[in-house]
Amino acid sequence: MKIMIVDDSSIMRRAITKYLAPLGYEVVGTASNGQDALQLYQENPADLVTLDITMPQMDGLACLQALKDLNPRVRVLVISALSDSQTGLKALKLGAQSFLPKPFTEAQLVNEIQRVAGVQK
Amino acid sequence: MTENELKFFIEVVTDYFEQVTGESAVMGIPYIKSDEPAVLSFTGLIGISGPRKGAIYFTAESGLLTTLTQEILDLADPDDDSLLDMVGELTNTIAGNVRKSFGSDFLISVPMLIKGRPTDILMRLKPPVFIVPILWRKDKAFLAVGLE
Amino acid sequence: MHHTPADILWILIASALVFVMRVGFAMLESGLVRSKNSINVSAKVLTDLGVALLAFWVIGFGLMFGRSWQGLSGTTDFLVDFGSLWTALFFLFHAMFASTGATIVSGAVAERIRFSSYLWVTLLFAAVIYPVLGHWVWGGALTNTNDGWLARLGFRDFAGSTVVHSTGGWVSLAVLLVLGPRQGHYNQDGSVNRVTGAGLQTSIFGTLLLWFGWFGFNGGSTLALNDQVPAIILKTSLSGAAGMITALLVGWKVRGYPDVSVLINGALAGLVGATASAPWISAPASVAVGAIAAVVMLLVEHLLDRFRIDDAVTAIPVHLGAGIWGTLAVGLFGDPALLQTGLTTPQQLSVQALGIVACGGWAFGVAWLVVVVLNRIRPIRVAPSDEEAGLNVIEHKASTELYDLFRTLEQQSRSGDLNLRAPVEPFTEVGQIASQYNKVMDRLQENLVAKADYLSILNNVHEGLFLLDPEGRLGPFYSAVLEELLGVRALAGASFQQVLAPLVQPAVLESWSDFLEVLFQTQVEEQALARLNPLREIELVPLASPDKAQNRHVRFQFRRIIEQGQVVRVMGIIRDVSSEIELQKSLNTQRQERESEMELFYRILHIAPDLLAQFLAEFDEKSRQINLLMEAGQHTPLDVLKLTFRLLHGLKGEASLLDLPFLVTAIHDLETEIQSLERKADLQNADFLTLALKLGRFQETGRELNRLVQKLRNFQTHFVQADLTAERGLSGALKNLVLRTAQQVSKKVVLETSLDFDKNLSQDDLTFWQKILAQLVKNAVIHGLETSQERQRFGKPEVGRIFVTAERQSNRLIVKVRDDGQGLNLLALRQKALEKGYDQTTIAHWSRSDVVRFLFTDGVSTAARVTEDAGRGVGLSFVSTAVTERGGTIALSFQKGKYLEFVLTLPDQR
Repeated sequence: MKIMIVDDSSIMRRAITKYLAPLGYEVVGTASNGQDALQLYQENPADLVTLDITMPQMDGLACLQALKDLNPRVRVLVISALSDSQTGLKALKLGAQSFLPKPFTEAQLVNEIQRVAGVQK
Repeated sequence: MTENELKFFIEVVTDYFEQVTGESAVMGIPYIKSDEPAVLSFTGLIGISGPRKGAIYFTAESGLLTTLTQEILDLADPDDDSLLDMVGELTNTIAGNVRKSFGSDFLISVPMLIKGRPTDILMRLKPPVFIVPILWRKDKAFLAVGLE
Repeated sequence: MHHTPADILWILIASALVFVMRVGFAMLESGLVRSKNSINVSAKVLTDLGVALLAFWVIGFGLMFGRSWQGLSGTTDFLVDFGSLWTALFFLFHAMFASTGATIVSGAVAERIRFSSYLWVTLLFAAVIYPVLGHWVWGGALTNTNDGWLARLGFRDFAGSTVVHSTGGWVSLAVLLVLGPRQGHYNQDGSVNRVTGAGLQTSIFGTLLLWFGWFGFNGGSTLALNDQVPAIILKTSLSGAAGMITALLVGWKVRGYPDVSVLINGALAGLVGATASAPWISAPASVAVGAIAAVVMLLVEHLLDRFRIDDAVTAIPVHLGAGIWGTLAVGLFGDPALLQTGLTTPQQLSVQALGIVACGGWAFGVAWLVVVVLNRIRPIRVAPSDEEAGLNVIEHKASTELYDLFRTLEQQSRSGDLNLRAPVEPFTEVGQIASQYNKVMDRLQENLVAKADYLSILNNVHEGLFLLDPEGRLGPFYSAVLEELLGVRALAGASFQQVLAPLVQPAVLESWSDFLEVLFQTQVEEQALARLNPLREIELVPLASPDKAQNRHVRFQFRRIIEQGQVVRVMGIIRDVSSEIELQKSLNTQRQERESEMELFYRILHIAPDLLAQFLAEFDEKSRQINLLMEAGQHTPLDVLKLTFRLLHGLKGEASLLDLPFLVTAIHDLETEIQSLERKADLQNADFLTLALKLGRFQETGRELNRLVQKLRNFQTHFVQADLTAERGLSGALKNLVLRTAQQVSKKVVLETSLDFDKNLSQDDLTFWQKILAQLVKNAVIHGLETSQERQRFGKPEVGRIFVTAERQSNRLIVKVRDDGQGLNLLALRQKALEKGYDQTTIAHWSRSDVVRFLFTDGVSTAARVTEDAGRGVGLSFVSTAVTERGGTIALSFQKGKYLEFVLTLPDQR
């Protein structure tokens, strides 16, 4: 399972990468905005994308739509600090599998990734 | 620092303007200052010791003080010393009120009057330092409170 | 009169055939009435045979066939003796007739007459009405004389259209008028509720038997087996057939279908019609007689219903209606040659009509009078409840399975008791029905009980429970609490969105419709739904009552009900968490307050250092940004709040990731404050005070965190150093002292020692030097050395240095304590002396050494604060005293801003 991490906070990117390392997933790349993410995805498509919503240059929702256009089967876990449910619901309507609000803990992240990856039901 | 204490300091200042000029001053959005101090041309500082340590100061530009001095003293063109006195007067009022209302919790020093911009003024205040803009007519002053 | 054996045999057979008619009647009537009365009707048919036979023997036969008095009634032959063959034979045949006539009544009055009353009527019929009337027509038949007054006038009724059938009909009519219609038989508008007979097939068999019996009834009425008999039987049957077919066709036309009872009654009417005239009419005439009899029967039936005369088995139309017609038909179709009355047809018709009227008057009149009297003595009708229950059980305690089933159903419908079960008679149809019914009841009861349990749960749970369909409508069942929580009644089928509309913010309502849509999408993770649930935790503000106290904090949960991969329903659970939230708030505050430094340490130690460093930098930066935002005033207050919220929320995410719950809680608290400000209608600057204070406290927490990290870093550095240069003895002790003291006054100090004598010191000496040097070193740290900032300002190295050296010189021990600090502040010392009470002029004349001497007196300290380590003002005087005691001296040298050195010279005691 290849994973791509998209988040504008470098702490987040590093932390998620670190937490996912023991699970044996291959992190194919990280991006700090939607545009970079799309470019990265076209070069090296991931199976699962963790996606932030608020980012400079193309936000997460636009990126999600573009990703789904490229590959409707890509699994997307939206990880966002936006606590208003409106945005999260929009993401789900656009085809995201799940939504994990920041703040989250390592255990929550791992659990969520595994669910979206289909390892755990 | 409690909200009531902060409110009290602000009210003392705004009431002062109301009482002496008939026109109340309005507070702006309060904020926190951690690096360089918000200090204007003339400043009056009250050190506070005892169980609660820190300081409060009021600082204003000469414009506001000139208007205020003209209004109170009927002076046509007050000099810098008069303006400093004006700040001292205001600061004393604050000190007096604080002493009256808070009593032994606040040991109040003699107000220190400063002209210009001293660099170490923040050291007297205990962080976090709250800066409350005071708007009176068109002019702006600051009330800074840094108390444990 | 001679009687051949064939005649005798024929009359016996005919009697038997008439007897069989009784079976026919029993079957006909019991099949037409409802099963709850079937036994009762049959019992009457059986009983009236007994009553009629006895009554006819005791009195009836005499009145009918005894010696005539004025042609009105017989007067002899009561309790008739069967001495002669003929008498016995004659009696037998006519006894059968008499009882048959009586039986006609039983059917008409069925389903409501009291059994005992019926027996009285039968007795009256067989003993009086029928015999007297019979005498008028048939009197003298035994002796072959024409005794009866009607017969003498030329009235002819061959086998009893009037004598038997009409009489039965008249008596029935009289009884029915007193009795009244069955319950519920006629509706308000006059329409008829036809009963469902116990078994029409039985009635059909009964009709066939009656027809068969009629062979004897009419055929035997010749009282001889002569050449007429077959024709009579055939013409009777032709008439019956014509009646049946006519009724069938007319009835079919009128009612729209071939009604079975019309078929039966048509046949019987035809048979009755031919009874008066069979020997005297032609075969075609018999067909006409039958056909017209059927029409008459239908008309009379219609008339009876018009007058609400409820004839249970249509006996009056058949026996009275067709009987009258049959009697008239004698005059109309009868061959005068055969009738031998010597009358013309009109005359014959008139006599026939006279006979009909006379007989009708007698039979109806007597019956009516007697029944009215009987009814006065005791109502001839059963009680309504008994009528409802049915006469089988009421009169005879004769239950049928069907009746028992019916009883159970009725009881159940009345009591609503679902525990009742129908009696199951094995091997019968009704038994099977009952058993099936019981099964239905079992299931029903199970379901009802399950439903009752379910409803009782719904009525008692503390949570609001409900189901939503994909359109977002509430299901029919929900818990009682739901109405209370939402403050809305009658929610079944309501749109949940509309229910919410007055209770929540418009933004929440908007989210709800999105949420509802996603709820029913199977591929979305349920956990994600739980997180994005816009109603997860919400304050319900009923618009109707703006009173804040009415507001409830509720928590909504939604569970998807999935069948075959589709979300079919969503179960909603709503809980009032107002008190929970209050508790949580106070707990949070407490926890924040209790978060100890130790715990902070613990948390920090668990964070990867690089992440923590980055976080702290982020924290500082974001705090700075927030402060600037509020200071700059470039944005509207609302935007300031929004941007601040954004910045804080980012920090919260990171704090949570690093497991710093106290920061998460603090930020959460700030967020709540911001949100409440955002909601304020008229936002004042003063409203920002609380936020500012909370931000201040929060940023302090950040600084505290920074300080702790700094402490840890210092600790680490010193720990390593201490470990490397672990010095014991005097040097070590002094170093520790300097370390501790420097930290307390926030100065940076390095102690350098050269104490090669300390290994050879006695314990006593060691204690002495420890005390002395400790004082001097502490003084150096606290008074001598400047803070690093001050040192930098003066262009000195940041870190202050203290040198402690000891050297032996011949017999002296010279110990030096030197610091590179500010030297001595002579001015301050003079000031101090003044405060201590020294004379101003004295002090003015003090030399440098005088001032220094003052330094070593009690109670002098130049430190601003009194701390544990210095500033008590006793240190130097103690040193001075101790050194002098040992015969030593103290010298002091200093340069302002450069250094201060104490030189202690003591005699070497070794």
